[in-house]
Order: sequence, then structure tokens, then C-alpha cells
Amino acid sequence: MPDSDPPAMAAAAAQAAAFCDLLRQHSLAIHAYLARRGGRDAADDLLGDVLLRAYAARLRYDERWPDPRPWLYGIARNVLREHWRRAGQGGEAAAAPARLAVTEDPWPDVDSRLDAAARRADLRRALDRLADGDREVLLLVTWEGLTPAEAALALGIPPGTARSRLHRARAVMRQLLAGEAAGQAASYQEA
Amino acid sequence: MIMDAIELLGRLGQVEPADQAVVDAALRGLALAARRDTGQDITAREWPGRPGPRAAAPGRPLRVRRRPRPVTAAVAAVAVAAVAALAVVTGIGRAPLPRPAGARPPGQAHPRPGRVTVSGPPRGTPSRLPTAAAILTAFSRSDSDILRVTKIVTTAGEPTLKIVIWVWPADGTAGDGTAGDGTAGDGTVRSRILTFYAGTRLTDLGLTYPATAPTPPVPGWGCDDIFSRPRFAIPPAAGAPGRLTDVSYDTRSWGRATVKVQAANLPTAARLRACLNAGQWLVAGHGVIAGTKVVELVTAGGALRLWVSAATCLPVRLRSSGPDAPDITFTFAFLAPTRANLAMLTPPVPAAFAKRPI
Repeated sequence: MPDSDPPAMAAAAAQAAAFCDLLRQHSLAIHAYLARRGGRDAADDLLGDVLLRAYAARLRYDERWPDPRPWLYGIARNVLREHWRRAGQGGEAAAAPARLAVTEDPWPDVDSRLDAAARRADLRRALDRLADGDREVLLLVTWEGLTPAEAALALGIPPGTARSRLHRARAVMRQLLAGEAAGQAASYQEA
Repeated sequence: MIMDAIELLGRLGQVEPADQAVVDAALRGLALAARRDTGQDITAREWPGRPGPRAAAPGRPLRVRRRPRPVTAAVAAVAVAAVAALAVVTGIGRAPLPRPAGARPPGQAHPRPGRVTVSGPPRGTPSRLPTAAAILTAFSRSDSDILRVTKIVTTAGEPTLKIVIWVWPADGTAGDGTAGDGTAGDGTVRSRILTFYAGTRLTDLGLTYPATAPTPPVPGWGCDDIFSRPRFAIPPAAGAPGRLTDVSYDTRSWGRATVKVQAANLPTAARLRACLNAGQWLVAGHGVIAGTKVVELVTAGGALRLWVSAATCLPVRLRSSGPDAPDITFTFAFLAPTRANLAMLTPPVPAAFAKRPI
């Protein structure tokens, strides 16, 4: 038993320390994930909760994973979903205004900003029309820089499913923003 | 230039990094949990501080592959403008008004925090607020005061984070020259943000930034976002130009810098009026907080509860809680802008602290 075995206690402490270091290294990434999805204030409030839950679940972390972020984002996503349920916002779709409202402009680019400004409302509408699962894969890949396989790990779905969802989401987004397939999007949502 | 939809999406996903104090507080909570779990202070030397460069954790090789960010450029200018406008929705003139009857004497907060006891209509059957006009008028009378907000985040029954925020003037618009010490309003907003973790002072920030012009509220928008503190970023970044004083008690150092500020989101009469008219806030009951009679309001979705003083109609407390979620309580106090209270807006710099660049 670790409680009565000094070497085992030391090993457990070392493992805990290593895991805390891992969480420390990714705390900014987790906060950014939370801020993109739930807004800056929610991120401030929930970051500590995500770290504590990840620590409590550290025995489920697989050291063979090349990148811990998908696993951490999965935990963060669960915390966010509880936050949304508590707030009665109805899920990720309702959080779209918050995540799109979080802004920074570190590298001014006039042309791009003008273009983005003109199309921002369309983009938000298009995002809201995606199926929840498809939108989640798209945002994990586009915003968090995960591969489809890593997004699959974060969401607990097969990699092939993530790839197909990503392909579908990208296609629909492009169609919707091109203004060519509003009707198709409606049928896509119902499918 | 027509931007690809996915590239545009990537641009809109850019967020500014977390505040140092927020990360520090979260990491301290983690350190506390690890200490409780292992009986050893295994992380003390690591905290606080921003996450350092990636390194292999002992006994756990990390072969982290980071793909380049798909997009590196800016977010839409209109989005920035919209956020700035919506985050500081103000609609009240700056003309000084007499204090409501029963208001606290100058220099005294009203009311003090305390337990909440609620009576009145059963929960779940909120009604439209019949005294909205009284509440809104009283709100407007606090505009020239100093707003002090104490935010406490409780996770699993334990308070993990406490932030005390001062903002003057209380409505965030241009000062009106009613300061008790004769100081004229100069068109700036002064704010201080003092952060504690487990009773220990972590950081003390002072921010000065331009006051905003009153703008009409957007009906129904942001009714669940009654208050948020001002935020800053090191330029280049979006926001109004501001001055930051950053006192770090962890590193026993301090510094000053020019920053970009996103203004505080403040509970103004115009905002509450819009929310009431839109049916977003409803009466849920009556109660007493620290001996003060209060009216309890609740958002239509039930996510937030706001107590306002029955005597002065000033906001007293805002609470957000739920199962498996942090319990977050904001306690509001309006302080008269006396010389002593205005001095609270400036973070003191201990003499022993070293100056550092920001």
C-alpha cells in the first residue's frame, strides 16, 4: 500500500509531480480552449476546475499518447458542458456568440479584417447550422490545431468518424459561406 | 480579397492569453490538491508563473507534435468594435443625482456581505418586476460612486479564488467631478483588481483607461453578463489605450506599462432596463442579506440570481451556482468617492519589491 510503503509513496509523489508539470505546461492551451468555446470569463472560472479534474483522472491518462491536449480538451469539454447546462444555454450552439466575441488583433491585416468583418455574421450562422458533433470536430482541428485522429480522441469517437465529420463540416461551411447551398444545409442538419 | 471559410473561422478563433493571475490561481489549486493527495509539497517550486517551455515530465517522455496554427492574423475589426460596444453598454447621463433615502454614509459600503435568507413567492414562479422604475432610478444614482465587487469562486465547497475589483466611476462613463475630495472627473476610468488565493495575496493590478461614451443597450443582450472586470493585453492588441500597474506578491516585484484595455462590463440602469423589458430578469422573492432587505431577481433561464436592496435598490449580490460547477458569488458595494475611498483605487507597492519590466 502506498500509505505504508515509503518507496511507493515517493513514486506516487513523483508521478503526481510529473503530471502537475504536464498540466502546468498546457494550462494556457486549456484556457484558450475554454475561452474560445465559453468566453473569457467562463475560462477564468473553469480553468482551475479542469486542472483538478484532470489531476483526479490522471490514472486514466495514457503515457503513450504523443500529445496530451486531446485528452485535456475532452475533460475541458465536459466541464464546459456542465457549465452550459447550469447556465441553461442549451449547449455549444448557444455559446457561439461568446466564442466569436472573444477577440484579439495582434497582427493587423487590413484586407483580411475587412473581409472577416463582412462575413462574420454569415460565419456564425453557418457554424450554428452544423450538427454538434461535426462542429466540435471542425473547431478542434481549426482552432486547437489537432489532427482528426486527435480530435477523435478528445471526443471519444473513432478516427474515421472524425475524418468524415470534418470533411462534411468543411464542405458545408464553404457552401454556406459561398451562399450557394442554404437549402442543402437545412437538409444536412436534418440528416 | 475573399477569404476561405475555414481560414476565416481560424481567425475568429484567436483569443488573447490568460491573465497571469488566473493561471496562477488555477495552478495553486492544483498544487493544493496534489499536496492533499500525496502529503508532499511536490509543486511549490513550480508555481507560480506562466507555463514554461515544453519539457519532458519525469518518467513520462513527451513527444508532443505541434502543428503550426492554421491562421496567424487578426480578428475582424467590426467584431472588435462590436465587442467593445456591447461590453460597455451604458445609457445613463453623468449628471449627479441626490443619493436615495437610506443610502449609506460616505465611505461606508452598502451593505456588508452576509448570509442570504429568502422568503416570498415560491421559486420557479417568478413574475415581472413591478418596481422596475424604482430600481432603475436608484441604479442611476450610484453612477458617480466607486463600484467595489468581491468575486469568490468556490469549488467543491472550498473557496479557491477571491478577486476584489474597484471601478470608478461606477458606470464606466466619463467622470462628473463629484469626487468627495474635489477631484474633477477627467474622462478616465480607474480600476484596481486584487487577487487572493486561499487567503494569500497574489497580484494587485491598477488600470487606468478612457471612459466610454454612453451607448444604447441592445435589448436582451448580455443579461446574464451583468458584470465583468476590465481586461488588458500587452500591445499590439485590441482595446483602448491604458496604463497598467502590476504588483506581484509571488515574485515580490512590480512594474508599469502601457497596455490595451477592454473596459469593464458594469451593471448600469440602462442595461437592467433592457433586460427587464425583455423579460430576462424576473422577481423570484424577497430576503435579507446582512440585515438588509433585498429583492431577489432571477434570469429567465434560472442561471443567475441577483439581489438588489429593497431600500436603495442598488445591486447587492449576484450568484451563479449549480451541480458539478463552481459556485461564483459577486458582492457589490457602492462607495462614495471620498479621498479615502479613492485611495483604494491605487495598488500600493511595498518598498521591498523590485521593479521589473512588463
